[in-house]
Amino acid sequence: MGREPSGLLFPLGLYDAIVAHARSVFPEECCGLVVAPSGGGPVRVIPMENALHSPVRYEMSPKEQFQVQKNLRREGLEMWGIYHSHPSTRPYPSETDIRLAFYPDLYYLLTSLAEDPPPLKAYTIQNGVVLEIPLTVSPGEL
Amino acid sequence: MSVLVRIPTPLRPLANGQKEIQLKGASVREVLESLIRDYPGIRERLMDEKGEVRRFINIYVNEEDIRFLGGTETPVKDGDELSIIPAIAGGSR
Repeated sequence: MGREPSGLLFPLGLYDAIVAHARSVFPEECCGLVVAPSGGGPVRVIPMENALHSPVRYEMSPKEQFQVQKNLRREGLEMWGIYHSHPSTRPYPSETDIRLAFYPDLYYLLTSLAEDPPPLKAYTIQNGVVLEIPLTVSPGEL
Repeated sequence: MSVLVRIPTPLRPLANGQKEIQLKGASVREVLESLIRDYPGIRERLMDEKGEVRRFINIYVNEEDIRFLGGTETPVKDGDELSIIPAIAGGSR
């Protein structure tokens, strides 16, 4: 679920939620989580506060991360991906993104408001190596 | 003292895939030392060269960040929960 042989199918509603979040905090970067049931595909976007309120950097508040993870555990959901926006640059992981990628097990999703409609790209970042995973936004039920 | 340690997903491969581990120790430091003794691969991910917890690793005892308690000297008691939470951060520059 959510993973085709050729890449990821991503629900349109979640794409819309990420783009709306990015626009709502522009020119700051937005950040948040995409969550899924264990072994399943993405079902929900959780917008998080960018504690740095910066146009070029993001960092989630550890307290908010802690609370959200506790709630997810109760619901039987897990983190599936981490998203953030690049307000004015392309949606490719920067040196900072790569250096601070502490979740090699998750997808890193990036959108950019430099293009319209905003693209959504997915990557894995493992030991400093970025691998793009083709992502298709799907209008239907997955 | 037995403390429930919650292992974040990126560190689970270094701890035989476990989500939670019961470990002994009277302080955060002692619990982390128990963890590293059992799963040495975790050390480099948690600690810097000086043996201090890395800046981008957050540790909670129950509901509180140890930075607002006594750091790694924070005492723990039977039944406490210790959560290891790697930061989520980055940015275009």
